Amino acid sequence: MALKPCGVFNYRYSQDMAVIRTRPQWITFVLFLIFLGVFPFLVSGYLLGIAVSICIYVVAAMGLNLLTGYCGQISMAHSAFMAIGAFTTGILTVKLGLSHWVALPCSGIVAGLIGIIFGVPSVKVKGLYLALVTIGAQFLIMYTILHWNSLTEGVTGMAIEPPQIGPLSFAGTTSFYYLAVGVAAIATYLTRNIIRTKVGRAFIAIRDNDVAAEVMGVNIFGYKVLAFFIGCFFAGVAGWLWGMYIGVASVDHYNLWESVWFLAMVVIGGMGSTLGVILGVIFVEALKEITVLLGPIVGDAFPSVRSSVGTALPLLVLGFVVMIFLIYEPRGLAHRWEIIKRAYRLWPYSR
Amino acid sequence: MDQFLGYLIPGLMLGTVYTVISLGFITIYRTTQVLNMAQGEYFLLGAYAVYLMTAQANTPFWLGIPLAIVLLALLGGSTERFTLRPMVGQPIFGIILMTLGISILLRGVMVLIWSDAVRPLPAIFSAGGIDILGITVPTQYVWFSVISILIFLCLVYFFNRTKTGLMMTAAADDIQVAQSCGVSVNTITAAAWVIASVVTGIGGFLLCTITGVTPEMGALGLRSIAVVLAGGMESLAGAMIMGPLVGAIEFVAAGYLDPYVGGGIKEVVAFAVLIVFLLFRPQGLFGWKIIERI
Repeated sequence: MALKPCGVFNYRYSQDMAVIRTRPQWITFVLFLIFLGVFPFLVSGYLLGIAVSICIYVVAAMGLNLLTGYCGQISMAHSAFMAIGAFTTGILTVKLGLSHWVALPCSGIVAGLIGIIFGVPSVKVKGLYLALVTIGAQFLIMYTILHWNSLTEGVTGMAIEPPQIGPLSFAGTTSFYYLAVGVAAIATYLTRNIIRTKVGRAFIAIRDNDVAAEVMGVNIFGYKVLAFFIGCFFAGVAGWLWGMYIGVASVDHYNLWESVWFLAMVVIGGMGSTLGVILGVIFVEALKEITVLLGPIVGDAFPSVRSSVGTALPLLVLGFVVMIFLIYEPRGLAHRWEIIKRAYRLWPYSR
Repeated sequence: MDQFLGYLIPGLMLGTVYTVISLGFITIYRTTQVLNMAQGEYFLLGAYAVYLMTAQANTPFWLGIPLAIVLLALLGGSTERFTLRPMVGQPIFGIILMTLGISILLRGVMVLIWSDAVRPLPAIFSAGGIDILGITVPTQYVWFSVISILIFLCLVYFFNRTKTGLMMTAAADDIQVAQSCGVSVNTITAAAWVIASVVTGIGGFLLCTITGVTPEMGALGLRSIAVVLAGGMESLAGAMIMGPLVGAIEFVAAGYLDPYVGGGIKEVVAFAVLIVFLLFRPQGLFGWKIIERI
């Protein structure tokens, strides 16, 4: 924020507060929006499906980034909170017959409130212990959802209809893409602005040094609980999207490994960076798809492992990539991007 | 009463599997302050290494077991050397994620090589039953718990009476003082990983001679985190007490509650115990220090 390109000066207060500052940034931004708008007409349905899941994951990962990247509270139950969002949507729309647009805030709020239940221990414990609480939360939540048959239909799940606005239905992938992009854009906008407010500065203070933050008058309990609420709210909204996208609220998509992938997305992208989250999600999703495509090829090359390579390859590649990132680029893709940007600005004087 | 004992006694005995996995966790944690999320995978690898040696490479049993142990030791040592040592000084978050990465990678390797199928291991315990308090318990369970207790006693001896073990305890207490007294942190960290992976691997091999081995059993590793935490992150005795206790709670809960909730409660009871402990006694039963409160 403090470092501006050479020759850019702020004359007004609003300029100083702007997120998008310079003309090239505006141009890039508008071009990116146009790109998102015409994307469905450029690619096949398969890639569009990936783009939709990327958008949904961006929403959830934004929440995790607020919670983990900015407030420093590890959550390993993020996919369980997503499941809560999906099942809340299912219960509200299928069982109670409410509109999807009523279910949108409700799924977020329910996920957020349950997040608070598991976030309250974060006042007592932190770091390692909090990771363990949230692992426990992941299993307990998924167990409850799976076995509370009268409410959630357990294993079978609930079929969710695509949402509608008046005559406009979000049934096809293309129209759902616009919905997902819209929600992802709003989520990004909110995150980017939450972290610039008093709340966001309190989060960062707690992450950096909680004792110092408390001494300076930050209400640690309140802000940690708030971080859990906001983080899980985003996850719930992502669950709302995901449930409608795959058309069913079922338990098989929300296991511990999914939660670990959310953490991996945030770490690979760069903790505490809005751009990083987007980069991380795209990177991890692209990697997943590549491993899915590579599976049969590897299977043909090594026939002895053909039956298991489909399951094993994503685990192998992603585990390896996470480890490599942690060792060689622990600050993530966002940091790498900053380095490239700085080198470009200083060229030819950069190394 | 008989029904209760019928749940309790096998629970207590099979609960020692948590003790064995927890001993691995604790060995690493008290020496290096790293909680190894991949411990369940080392547990599986112990079983798979023996399977590789005896069933696939056809080495005789008496030779296969030591070779498997050597493999495990190599794996544990190299994990430390190539993944955790570069992470020294990184925040706890990165280290947790690193061990999770290891666990995912190892899970992938295991699925790739041995697939999802249940692989039987050579039986080493005789089948049959034994009467304890009027309950017939398979002799295998008795043998398993006896050997687990022996492993526990060996580790207690190691940490309290041998030079390397005392070095580890010293490093756990205060790493800088230990270093200035001539303890090589690199050596004992590697030693801790080797010991942890071997101990956990032996536990995995022993249990899997009874049940056979699939990658799914790695979930035991996560559940035994509850045992580690409830017993105290640094306490061997805590693991010895909480392991059978959590095992018993699991069996009793499964026995009485499963008909009402539709099964599978065994898989989550340990986590409920974990959360209760974290809320009311975060340092565990026998943990060393009160964790920092804010």
